[in-house]
Amino acid sequence: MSSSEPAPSSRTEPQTPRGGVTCESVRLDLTRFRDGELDERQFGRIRAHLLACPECRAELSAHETLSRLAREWRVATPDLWSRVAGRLDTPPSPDAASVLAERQEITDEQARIARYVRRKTGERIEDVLLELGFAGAREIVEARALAERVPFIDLRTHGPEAAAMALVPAHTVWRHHVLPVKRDGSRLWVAMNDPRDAAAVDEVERASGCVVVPLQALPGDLEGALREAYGVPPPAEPPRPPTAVGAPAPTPDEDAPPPSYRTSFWSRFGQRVADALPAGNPTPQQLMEARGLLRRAADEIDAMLASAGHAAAKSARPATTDDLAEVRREIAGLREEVAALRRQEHFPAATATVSRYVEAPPDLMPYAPPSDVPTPLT
Amino acid sequence: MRRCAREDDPAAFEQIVRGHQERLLRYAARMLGGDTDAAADVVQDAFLTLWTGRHGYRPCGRLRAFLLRTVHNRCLDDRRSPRHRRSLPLADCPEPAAPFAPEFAGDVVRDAVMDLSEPLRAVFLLSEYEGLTYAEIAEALDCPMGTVASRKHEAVARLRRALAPWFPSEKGGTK
Repeated sequence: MSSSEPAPSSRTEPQTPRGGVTCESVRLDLTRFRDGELDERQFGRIRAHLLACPECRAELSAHETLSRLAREWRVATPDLWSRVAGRLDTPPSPDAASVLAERQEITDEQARIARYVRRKTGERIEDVLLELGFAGAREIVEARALAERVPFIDLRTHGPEAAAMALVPAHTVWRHHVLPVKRDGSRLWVAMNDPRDAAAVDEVERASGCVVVPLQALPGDLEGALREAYGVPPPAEPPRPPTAVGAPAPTPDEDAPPPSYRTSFWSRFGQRVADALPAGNPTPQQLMEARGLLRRAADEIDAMLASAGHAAAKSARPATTDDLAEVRREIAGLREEVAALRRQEHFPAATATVSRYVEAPPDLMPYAPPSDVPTPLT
Repeated sequence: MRRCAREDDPAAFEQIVRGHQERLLRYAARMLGGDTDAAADVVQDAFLTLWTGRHGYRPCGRLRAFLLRTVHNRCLDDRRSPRHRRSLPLADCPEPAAPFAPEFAGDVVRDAVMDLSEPLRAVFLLSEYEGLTYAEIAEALDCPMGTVASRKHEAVARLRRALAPWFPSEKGGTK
């Protein structure tokens, strides 16, 4: 609007029809006219009026002045992506569960449950998959290697080369449970339980002077290959506790339970927990509850087995059946059920228990049972 | 967005963020009186809400409208929070020394726009600064198109009155 023209909106003046419409109706529609929100017919009528009416043209000019003035208010627009990206909760790379699901070795539902348990417990997805009995150790290790794009080596078919073995001292090999299998120039291919073990990689690189290329091996196979290549471990090497996927297997001992008992326990009983419930069940929450109970029972079994081993027990073996997982031991004629889990009708609704009773041989009766029978887990 | 939800793909989500962030930031900053820090918080929350709910996202309109509505609602929440410091009313602003004095124009426009009620301001900002059609504004603000038209008309009328001193020939303006 030029300064020489009066502002018509603030004046009261007779409304003269121009182009068939009044100034009043035109001014009511000027905002929509300027915003392009009128249909062709309305637009044409107002345009014809504006051509003939300087007052309404001044009004339109005032609208445009307001728009120009409004653009004086500027605001900054910083890039937000780095802030947003830092708070996204999902890792971009696949995990072992997704690989297993893709290979149809577990169902999508099992993968979903495993991820739920992982989020709740903070444990590795591989351990969760194994403990829930969704897949075997070998399949899980292979899946992890695929997910992390680490080459997998089958030590049953590929043995180590002497030139590679000579680069790493035996104590380093045993300390980290790694097996050098091949040297390729300045690169040394090393089979490992856990290729993410940076400390092991560093030490092997220092010892060998080569750049280590980690290979994923199956823990059981690695243990066997190490013994075949290097003999028995050095005496100073402390025994390693058995853990789940990715950890070294324990040293075999005639009196100790088989190294795989825990895996067997979970793969049989844990799977039964899952199988025992109808499709669509258990919910992740129910499974978590069951898993918590089972885990505590397994810890109890571990402790009892360790104790039995030091108490000159005649026998101490876990056993699983369709409805029961139990450990019994026999010491000096006393048979003791140290832990038992019974699957009941509504399992896992907090019905798993660890019970203890002592059964004395007939010639020692009468016998007073211990006061802690049974001990509910919850 | 479908790819983002199906594959949990941050790269796809990055495209969404980069494609919408400028408009959302401009809108939020002006709704909040020019507070770009608060606007960044609001828009970031809107994106994170979208990401968190990506698996349940059901396209029932344009993603832009969904994001604008989310940002709009969060701006209203922010404006009502105790931490919000209201901008000075227009009466407290200095009288312009000369028409269209560039050093004051932005502040005066901001205060005039902030004196509009929230419904009028939202329509004015989306139409005038973001160039959205009335139909798009209606979708974003979840109101009828007729309401958008009347609010825009009313907002323009009020702003012209509020900014009269800056219009050289308006009644009461600086001559």
